[in-house]
Amino acid sequence: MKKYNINENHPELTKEQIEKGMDFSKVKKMAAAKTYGSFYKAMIAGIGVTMLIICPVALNHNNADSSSTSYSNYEKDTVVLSQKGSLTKELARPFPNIPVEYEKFTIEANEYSSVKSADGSVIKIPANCMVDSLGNPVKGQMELRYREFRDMVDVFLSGIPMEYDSAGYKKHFESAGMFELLAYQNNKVVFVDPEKTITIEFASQYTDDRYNIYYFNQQTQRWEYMYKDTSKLNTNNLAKQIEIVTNEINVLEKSIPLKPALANPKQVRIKLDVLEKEFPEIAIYNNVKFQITNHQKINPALDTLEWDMVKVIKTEQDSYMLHFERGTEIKEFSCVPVFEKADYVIAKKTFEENYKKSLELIKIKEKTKQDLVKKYNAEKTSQQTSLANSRAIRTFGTIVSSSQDLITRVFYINKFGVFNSDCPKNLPQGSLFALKLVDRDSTRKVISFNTLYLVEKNKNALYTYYNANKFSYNPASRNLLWTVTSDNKLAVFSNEDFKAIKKTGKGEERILDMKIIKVDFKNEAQIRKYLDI
Amino acid sequence: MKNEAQAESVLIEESKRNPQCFEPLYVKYYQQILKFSYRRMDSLDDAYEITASTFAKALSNIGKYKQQGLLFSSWLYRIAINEINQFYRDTNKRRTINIDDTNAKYIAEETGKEMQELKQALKIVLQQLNSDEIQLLELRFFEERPFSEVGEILGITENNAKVKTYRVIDKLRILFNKVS
Repeated sequence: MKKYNINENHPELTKEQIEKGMDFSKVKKMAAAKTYGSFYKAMIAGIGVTMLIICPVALNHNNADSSSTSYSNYEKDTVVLSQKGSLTKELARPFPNIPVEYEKFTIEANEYSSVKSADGSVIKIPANCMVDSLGNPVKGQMELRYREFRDMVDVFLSGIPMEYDSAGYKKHFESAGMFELLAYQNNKVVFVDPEKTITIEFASQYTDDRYNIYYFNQQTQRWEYMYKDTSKLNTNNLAKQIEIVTNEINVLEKSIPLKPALANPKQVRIKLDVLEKEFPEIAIYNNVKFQITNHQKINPALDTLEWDMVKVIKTEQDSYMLHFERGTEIKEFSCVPVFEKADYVIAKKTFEENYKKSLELIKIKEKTKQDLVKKYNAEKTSQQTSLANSRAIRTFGTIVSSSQDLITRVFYINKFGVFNSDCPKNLPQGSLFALKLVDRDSTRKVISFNTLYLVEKNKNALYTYYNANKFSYNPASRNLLWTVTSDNKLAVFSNEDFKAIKKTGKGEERILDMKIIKVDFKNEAQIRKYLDI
Repeated sequence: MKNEAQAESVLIEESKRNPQCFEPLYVKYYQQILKFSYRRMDSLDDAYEITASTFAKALSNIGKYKQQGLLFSSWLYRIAINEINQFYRDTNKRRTINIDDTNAKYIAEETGKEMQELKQALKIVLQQLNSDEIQLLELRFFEERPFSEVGEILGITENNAKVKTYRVIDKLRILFNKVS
């Protein structure tokens, strides 16, 4: 069968032909559509019947001509009508009867709004920030639907793939926080005006700064990189303020003027210009000299020799070193800053004027720092309590305490959908084998599976293996493997089971005896209980 | 040359903040990418669209591009290949291969086949190669790229590119023998 069209001696492109296709403004529009406009690919909620309708919509309400590009890929923007209106509704959820519930907030579209989720995250929405599908401003009351996927059970139930294609390499996400935000008015989906930005301050337990922000493109079912997550630096506003004040105190402490000393006429003294930032404690004085203090024999010709470099080095509190360098010859002498008699009087006056001022300034800054620390601790406790309460509610009375520090990861978004602060990782390495799953009860029935889920409990990582005939895991991790059977039961392989695996040759087939949980799951808490997450 | 690379590096970084700074990069690489796409297409209009979407994707993903390791041009070719593959998947059209006398000459050299019979035979045997194998032949022989660049574009090592290409040549030799 013919697979390819084969052309011979294709004519070379002429200069005119090349120039004809050159159009940077078109490229920019297409790029803008990819970056900002894809929210128009979202959906409109329909009530009653679940159906999928595909029809073209404008990519960008500000660029009426952007839809005139002829390339079919960029015209295939879709509007999806669904019963529930979730961006993730088309994903294959393992338990369709157990959704990750939305929190709903009613806000005024024309006013600035700030709402706080049960888990302590804050959504800040500027006034007049929403538009309808035609790009007209939305006015009046509207509804925000927000849900967070905080751990691997949430992610598992959502059906959101945690695979990431990094330039052709398959990676898996280790999440520091994932959420979905949607907005509706009269049950019709509304969009963010691309000129406006919504801020989500996500309360995250993961304090690392190695994460990036990704957006889940519903149409391609792929994650798209947005930007580097700099949350750790920008977020916890109070923590940042504390850091700034602490730095200011450090600078002030270093700048406390050094008490001037009178020069000893019998000792060798050298005048050198010093940089203010290197020696802030003496920078306010004029005519500082460095007097050699040790009893080393000083060559009287020292000051007549030409040196490549002469510098002062600060060694410890109030102690300095004079460093002379010429070729390979180095000489060093301990020294102290001193003043000749006339300069000493002026320096003493300067010291008296400035010393107290410095101490007072430090005192004020210390007080500011203490106040900030108090506020920070109160805020932290409130966030932890909020998170623990919401977890406790979800797990029906099970108290989940969070002793970890919370930080606020800030997401700046100008479209609705699923966003994630994530770190792409490779699949676990260590032990690799071909896989066969069987029911560990007496029937030893083979379990057919499409998707395997592996959690490394020591990380917030869910690895999915689609139709895998080879499976790899890290024996050093706390592993938990499961799949959903054809009759909607969980088949689980625990960390203890992993520990009992005997070594086989690399790639050899291994039969895993799965424990089938014979429960018809009705809610998330039941799944959490059996997976012990 | 160093200055040119530095200037390009500055433009890439600036483009991450301001899309307008991408224009000089577009102007610089537009022709290469258009020709690259056109060699894999029947229609020039399709090649224009692939080129535009390649640069659009590059612009919208420029934040992801890291300057260590992968040449910017190789990154663009990589995107172009993906766009071309996507185009053929979406349209269900048959993939186009363009061969000319120069290309045939290089393959003749490698396979020891006489030029007169080669072009006819090539039309038959190319049908029996998979798309990855065609990709390697195109990059190495039809476009005369060094193995290091072939590797970069395809995301494999230089050595791997070499090994895989010569496997394709061996396959071609066997197929030529069968045809004759």
